Parts: sequence; C-alpha cells; structure tokens
Amino acid sequence: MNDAFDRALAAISDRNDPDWNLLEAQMPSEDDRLLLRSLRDVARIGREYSEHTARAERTAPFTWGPLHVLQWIARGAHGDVYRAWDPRLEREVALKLLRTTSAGEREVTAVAEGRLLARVHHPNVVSVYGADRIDGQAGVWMEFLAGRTLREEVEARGGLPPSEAIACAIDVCSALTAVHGARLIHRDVKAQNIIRTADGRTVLMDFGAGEDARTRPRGIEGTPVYLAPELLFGGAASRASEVYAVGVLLFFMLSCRYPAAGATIDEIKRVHESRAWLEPAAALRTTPALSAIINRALARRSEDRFPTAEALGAALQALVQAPAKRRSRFAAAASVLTFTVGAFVALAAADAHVGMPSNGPRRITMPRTDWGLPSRDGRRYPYIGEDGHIGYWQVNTDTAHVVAPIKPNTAFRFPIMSPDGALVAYTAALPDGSFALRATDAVRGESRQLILPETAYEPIAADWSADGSELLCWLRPKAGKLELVLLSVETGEMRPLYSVPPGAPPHAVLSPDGRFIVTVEPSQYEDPVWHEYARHGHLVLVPIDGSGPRLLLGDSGDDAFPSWLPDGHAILFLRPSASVKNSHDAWIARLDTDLRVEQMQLFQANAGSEMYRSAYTVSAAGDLQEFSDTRLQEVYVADFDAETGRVANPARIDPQRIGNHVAPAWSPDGGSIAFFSTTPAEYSGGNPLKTLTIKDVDTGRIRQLHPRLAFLGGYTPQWTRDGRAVVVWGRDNTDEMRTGYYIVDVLTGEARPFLVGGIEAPARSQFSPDGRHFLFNDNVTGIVSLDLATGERQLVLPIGTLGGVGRFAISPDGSAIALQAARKLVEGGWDSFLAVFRNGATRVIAHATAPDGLDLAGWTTDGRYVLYAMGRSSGGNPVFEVSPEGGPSRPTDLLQEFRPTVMSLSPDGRRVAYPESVLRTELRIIPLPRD
Amino acid sequence: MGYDAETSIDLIHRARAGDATALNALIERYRPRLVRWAAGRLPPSARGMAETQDIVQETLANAFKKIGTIEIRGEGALQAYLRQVLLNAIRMEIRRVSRRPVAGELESAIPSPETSPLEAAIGTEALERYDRALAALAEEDRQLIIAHVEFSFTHQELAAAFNKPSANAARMALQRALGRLAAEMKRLQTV
Repeated sequence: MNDAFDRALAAISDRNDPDWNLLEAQMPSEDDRLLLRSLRDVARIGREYSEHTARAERTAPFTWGPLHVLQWIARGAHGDVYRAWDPRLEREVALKLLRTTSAGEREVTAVAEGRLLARVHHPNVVSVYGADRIDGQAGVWMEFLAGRTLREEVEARGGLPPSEAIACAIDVCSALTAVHGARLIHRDVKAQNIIRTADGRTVLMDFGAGEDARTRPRGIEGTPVYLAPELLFGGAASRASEVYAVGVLLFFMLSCRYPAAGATIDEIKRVHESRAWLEPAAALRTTPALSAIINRALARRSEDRFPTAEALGAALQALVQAPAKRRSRFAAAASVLTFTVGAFVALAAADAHVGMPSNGPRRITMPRTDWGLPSRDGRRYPYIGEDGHIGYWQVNTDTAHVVAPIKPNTAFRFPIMSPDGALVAYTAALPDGSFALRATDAVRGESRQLILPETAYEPIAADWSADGSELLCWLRPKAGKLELVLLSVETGEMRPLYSVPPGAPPHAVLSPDGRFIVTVEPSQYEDPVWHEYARHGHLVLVPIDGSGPRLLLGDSGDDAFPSWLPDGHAILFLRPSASVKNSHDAWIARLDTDLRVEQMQLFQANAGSEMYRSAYTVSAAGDLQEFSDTRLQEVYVADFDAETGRVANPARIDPQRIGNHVAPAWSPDGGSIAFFSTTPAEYSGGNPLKTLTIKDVDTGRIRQLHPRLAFLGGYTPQWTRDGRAVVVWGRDNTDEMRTGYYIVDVLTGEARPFLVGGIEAPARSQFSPDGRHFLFNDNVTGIVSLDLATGERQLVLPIGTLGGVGRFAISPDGSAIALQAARKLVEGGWDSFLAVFRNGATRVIAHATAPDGLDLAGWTTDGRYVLYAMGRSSGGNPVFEVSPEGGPSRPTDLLQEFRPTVMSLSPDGRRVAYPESVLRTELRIIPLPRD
Repeated sequence: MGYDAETSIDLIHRARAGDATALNALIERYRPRLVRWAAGRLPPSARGMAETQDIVQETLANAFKKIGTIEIRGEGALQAYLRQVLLNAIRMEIRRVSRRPVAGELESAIPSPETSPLEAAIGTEALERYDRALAALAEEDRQLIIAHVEFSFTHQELAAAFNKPSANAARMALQRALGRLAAEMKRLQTV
C-alpha cells in the first residue's frame, strides 16, 4: 500500500486529524481513493463516538511502569489524565499519558518538561512527581487534586466577586513567578487549567503546551482567546504573553466573558486591532483602580504590560488594602474548609469521620421495607409493609405495630410520624384515582382526613410543625409544578409558600422555631431520570410569613436532603463527593443570626449515594439518622437429604466472623471445609482481600492461610485426594505476575505453581476421583485432562462440539462429566443447557431459554442426581436435581438469591455447604458535631 | 498478599465463582460508558435518557447472567461482546419504536426520527457499511477496532486489554486491522 494510505492509518490510530484532501490527491487510482474515503469514514465515526464518550468513565485498569492506573478522569489536548495508585509512595497520583504521535517529538519534550517542573515547589503549582517514557508512552505523574476547574466555578456562579477574583489572580501570578523562575513558560494559562481544590487552594496545572523558555518558538499554540496579540501574529511566547493571559483570566472571572472573543483567529485579531482595545476593561463594571490594572495587563504591545507576573501580582496585592477586607465570605469559608479537610485526612487514617465524637455510629439492623420519616426523638419509624399496610417500628424495642391495615385497591404512600409519635400522616391513593391525606392514631387506629379525596393533585406530607398543629405538604398535580403548602391540622386551611418544577417532591423541613423552611430549588440541569427519585439543586430558605424564598447556598447547584440541626442555626445537607464518583459528602452549613451562611464544615466525606435515602433526618438529640443497605456473602452448612431435596439446620460457617465468605469445598475425608473469607480493598477499585480459610468440621476450629500470592481468584478450591493441599486460581507476586493454578499446603499455607500459563479464565477445574488426573477447562480447546504422573495432556471434551462450555463436574465414579453449555440463538440471545458426557456421547438433561439461565452445582455423592440452579429474571434461583439420564427436574429446598451458585456436598452426601447473599438494612445513628 | 487493580476479568472470575457483589460491580463498571455509547446509536424517538438507561441496564443484567457459559478471553473481548448484545437490543428497540405512530407531520429539514446522532453525522449508508464490514472481520480485528474507534481506548489500554506486549505492538495490530476494515468497506461499496 502506498505511503499516503499508511499515513492515514497512522493518523487514525493516533487520533490525529490529517489533511484528507491532500492524502486523497496522493492516491494513485480511483480504487485507492475509495479505500482512503472508507478510512476517512472510520475516522469520522471515531470522532463522533469520542464526543459521546468523552466524559465516559474509563475504568479499564492497567499498569504504566510502577503505577496502577485506576480510573480515567479527563481528556486533554495532548493526552488523557488518569487517577492512579503509586504503590511505592502509597498514595494516589494523577497520571497524564500523552497520546502517541508518529514523530514522537512532543513526548520527548513533555518528559523533559515534566522533569524540569518536578523541580518547581510552590503551593499554587501542581506538584509534579516525575516524568518518564515507558513502553513507548510518555507520561507525567503528579499530585492528585480533587476540585473543580476555575472555568466550571466561574460559569456555575456567573462570575466571581472582585475580591475573590483578585485573590485568585494573585495566586496565579505567584504560581507563574515560580514557573518562570525555573526558566519555563506555561503557554496555556486559562481557567480550564486552574483547579480550585476542595480545601480552597488555587492550583495551576496542565503544562501540556509548556516549554523550556530557552528552546525555539513553535507555531501558534494555546487557546486563542487567551493568546496575546503578538502570538496570533506568530510571535514567541514570553513572560509578557503570560501576563496578558492573566489579564484575560481576570476579565473572565469578573464577567464570565472574554475580552477578545471570536469564532476564528482572524476575528480575534480584528478585535485586537479595534479602537475599543485601548481600554478593554471599560466593558466591566468595576473600580477604576482594578480597570487600570486589567487594561495594562491586556495592553496590545507587550512592552506596555506589566513586565512580569510578579509585578502584576504586586499591583493586585496593593489593591487589597487591609487584611480584613480580603476576608470576603469566600475567604472565610475557604479557611474553614482548609481546616476541616486537613482534619479529615488525618482522621481518615484512623477510620473516623470528621468532627465526629469518639463514640462512632450506632448501627441497628432493621427489616427490609419501605421506611417513612420518624418521630422527633428518632425512635418511631413509620413503614409500609410488604402487603401494603402502614405500621410503625419502635427502634428501642425492635417491635412492629400495625397502624392502618390494607384496604382493597388502595395504596398507602409517604408515611410520616408526628413529632410526639402519636399519629402517622400518609397519602392514600384511592380506587377511583383520587388521593387523600390522612392521619391515623398510632395506638388506637382512629383515622381522620386531613385533605379530602382530590383528583387534581396528590398531597405528600413533608414535615410536621414541632407542636403537631401544622403539616408541611407538597401538592403534586398530574402535570405542572409541585406546590408547597402549610396545612392546618385543625381547620384544613392551606397556605401556599413555594413551588418547584415537576418530579419527585424535594426534602422540605421546618426550622425548630417553625419560622422557616429549608428546601431545594431544583437545578435546571437535573438528570432526567433521577429527578423522579431525588431532587437536587440550590438550597433555599422559605420564610412562612410569605415574604418569599431566599437562596441559601448558590455555589453548587447540586445539593440535596437538607435538615435543620436542633439549634436552628445550622443545616446538614448532601453534595456530590469531590473525590468519589456517585457518592456524596455530608456538609454542615453554619448560619449567622440573619440565617446567612457563615461557614461550611465537611462532616462526612464519601457518605454514599443519595439515591436510596428514603429517610435522612436529624433527631431532636442532634443525631443524624440514616438507612444504609449492605450486602453480605455468607456460607452456610446444613443437613441435606438427596432423595427428598430437603435441607435442614443451616448454620453459619464461621460464627465468629459473620458475612463475606464464598466458595466452600468439602475435603475428601469430610473433616474440613476450605473457603474464602473476603475483606473489602482499602481503596476504591482494588481487589477485595481474600483469605483462604480452613474449617475443621468436628472442632469448629478456623484457620486462615496466607499463601504468597498477589491475587486469589475466588474459584472453589479443589482438594487433592490426600487432603493435604488445595488448588486455587490466582496470580503470583513475582515480576512476571503469572496467572494460573497454584497448589497450597493446608498446614503451612505455602503456595507453589501447579498449572500456570495458557489458561485465560477457568470456568472450573477438578481432580479425577482416583486423584491421578487434574481436569480443567482451558476455554480454547475444551476440557483437558492433565496426567499428574507423566504431565501429559489429553483433550477430553472439545469445546467445538457444544459451543461455549462453562462449568463441569466429574461424576463420583469418574465415568461421566456433567457440564453446562450455551448455544447462540439465531435471533440473538443464548440458550443455556445442562448435559452429561459419557462414553463419547453427550445427552442434554435440562435447558433454559434467555432471559433464564442455569448453573451447574455438582453431583450428589451417590451419583444419582445432578444439581443445578435455575437462574430466573426475578424471584430467586431455585436449585433442582435431575437424573444424569434425563427426565423431569425436581426442586430442592435450596434457593439462591443471586446466581451463579457454588455448593459442595460432604463425602457422605448428607451435608451441604452453600453460599448465600444477604441484603441487610441498617439504621445508622451518627452524633453530629455541636458548633 | 497485596492489592492490585481489579480488572474486569478478575471480576468475571469472582462472579463465576459465586460472588454476587462482583456481578454488580461489573454492571456498574460497564453501564456508564455503554449508556453514552448507546446514546449515539439510538434515534431521538427512542432516546429518552430513561429508555437508554433501561435498555443498557436490562441488556447488561441479561448479558452477565450468562457469564458462566460465555467464553471471554480478555477485556477487549468483553467490551466487544457487550457492545454486540447492546447493538442487538437497540435494533430491537428501533423496530419496536418504528411501529409506534409518529405524532404530527415532520418538516423535511428535520432528520427522520429514526436517525441516530451517529447516522445523522456520518450518513446512514456509511455507518451501515462500517457495521457490515466490521462483522466480516476476524474476531480480534473487530474487537481492536471497536475498542479504539468506539470506546476510545489508548494504545496502552489496547495492549492491556488484548495482551499485547507493548503499546506499540497494539498500535501496529490496530493499524493492520484498520487497513483490513477499509478494504472491506471499499469492497461493500463497489459490489
């Protein structure tokens, strides 16, 4: 193929945009031109996709040199930025990997620059730890900063107050002074490259276009609106052009606009040449002193500007006369942030939460049901039972009480307990399509209508007043805005106070003195799916005297679930986490006497998703009360009767450590069970730590083994016939990181390679009953038998005969193999089936059609049945037994909540060890800090 | 024993071994990028975010249910497999939607409601040619192209997902695959 075609291929694979017309002109024939046009289509498809996936979370973890790359964060002009883990320093870093270019020039420069930058130590410059070229890819790794870019911040707030903009520009000047001091030019100073961290730092980053000041100038580079006029005309970047960029930055921070805007470079040039350019700051409404500084920074001729960033910074500093004046609302908030975040980092290591007294959260296991809002003491929780009745749960006695029994064709919703716990208010959806609001006496069961059946809207109770005389309610019409009203319980009179766009009713809570409501003004950028479940936006304060709502916190626009603290001068709320995706941080906004935010305090970092918070409340005692769901994997050991399928007397495998056990396997003599105990990884995205555990069945003694392996796959361990060792799937911690089967001595825990390499992902492995062969599925050719004496391998069951082959199990007498397999259906989807392979022939004994599927569990010890779980799209996964000759399947008592299931029968066939997944709801009671 | 970053293949191992949390983690890992991918493939009439999310969620849940029986040999293969399952689901959805009556008359300037954003940008014919040519390629060629063109994998990521010795080896393999794709697209255009 010709050279132009090769260049086009290289361009696509490197994501460059070549001059396609030029390339096409170089193609010798029409045929070749067609070929090139096809390639051009592929390039366009790639570009379109990358727009759709530009912000996609790129989670494919890989390693780059010493770093474990965990998560894709952003795409920059010259490469991608990832969150990575540096195991040597034991900390998170940001890794910027440069896109490979054919010439490789930029990578060489970037590595050299990275090394120069690593010498710059300044609080306002991102700390670069190192730069290297590994496996042909250049990368720079640096401090991991959580926060948002200055551009995001300015655009979200529609501009910054002058004091804040000046403070920020001073920080940037200070950063540039340090960079220039190291004889570097940044070349791309702009709001997108400045991060405002959660702890209030302003940090200059992204030196993608940066360059050693001594090297020769390149073509036009950087972002046009920030480029000084001389650069647009081909001049070299200099300290003076960086001063210009800071001028643009100041202009942008104050106005959310650019001094020289245009769609093309020519348009921008024309703005520079216009008369208006003599005083660009005239377009800003600001003080003459600040205008003069901006005009000088933006001067058309470089020699008319401040000579250095340091000089510009000094001029700005002079504007800030008294320190007291600099303490704007932002500055005050920032200093509090610095303190609390710093404290958090220190405390996080000790597994504590910020500002939380030493007595940690109390955790109470609760039934799984639909919970409403509790009484003020947090002891009585109303709920909707599985059959639809309304009841309440007394937390201190663990007892349920029915309040309103079910009624035919009537649905109860949104229960809320009165402050004293005497009444439950709730919505009743009636058979005729109307809605009523009712209150029922929790003890006597007498009901009264608070709002008579109504078809125009659905009333939803949000909060009771402290004395129980009034109820705060949302009225939700079928279409249109939700209205917030205060309803008199005595007279039924309603006072409208506030309204929000259609969707779920936001949290709305009355202040302890009953004079204000805190709620959420939903953001106009709400997620169209989630706003049906939870609302976020700006927190607003609505006075009940009708004087109109007031914005309480306008900086994020993504806040939710506000609650008053008992003193009436602080509000707890949730905001998307600064560092963990899909999680939230809990904050406390302290209010002054005018109920304006005085300071912000981070209470709980990474407090989880808000999507599932039905009840997130503060009790009168000042405790946060929230529900959280946790899932446990538990292994049970029970009696089993293969004839009847009955299971009896289940007991937890390790009563000392409940939960998080998987993959049990009975030893050949029936004396021990091997299984894995798991503990979550210490950082997000890491493998959970698995410990190979051996239980002595007679004594109940538990022993944990620690084989020297980097990773344990969690496949069911396979016992050797002599019961002295188990074979596990894993990866060693040598430099080669070899994956495969390892044999672990169950007395010493010592691990040796058993069958390593050449197997991508085993579905199952097993020793033959006589212990002389080890059978495994290599996923390429099929089920292979390894002769343990000679090392010879023999293909027992080729994969090709059946399509995909999954798990298999050898019959106790060694004469047959039961296996599960799948067939691809012509119309898409899969048909999964269970088969028995004996004497070279296969017989299908059970099958399931998508969306159902089945999973082989094993043979009964007498070889008369094959056990398998049926995976249903809903309603659990029952375990069946079927004869290896075929015929009807028979249910057992075993039911698995989640597929796939792995179980193990004792050698005498009378006991079974099986895993089960349990979802548990906890009420967590967490003391809030006092002032 | 130390920690190391958990690959999707590790997760599949865990899921196959009976760890339900691994299944959820797999779905959570692939859902966001597939939702965005699907957003480009679904026509506006079927592209309420709710529907896109539903289709992806349902497809993933069904796809991962069969994890025990499907041969997945690497990250790239998994990505390509999920993309194919999702593409099938989207085609079904388009068929379903196209049976719905269209409310009101359409102005000629507005793209047909059955045109996805990708089709609108690339042209239906070219996109179809790409899809058909892709289907005609060898397994690994197809997976490499999908990962790079549709999911923006870097060379380093391709190397990790396809067990190539280096980023450059992945880049070379990708270029060869792209060459074969272009040849197939040209063939489809001239037949």
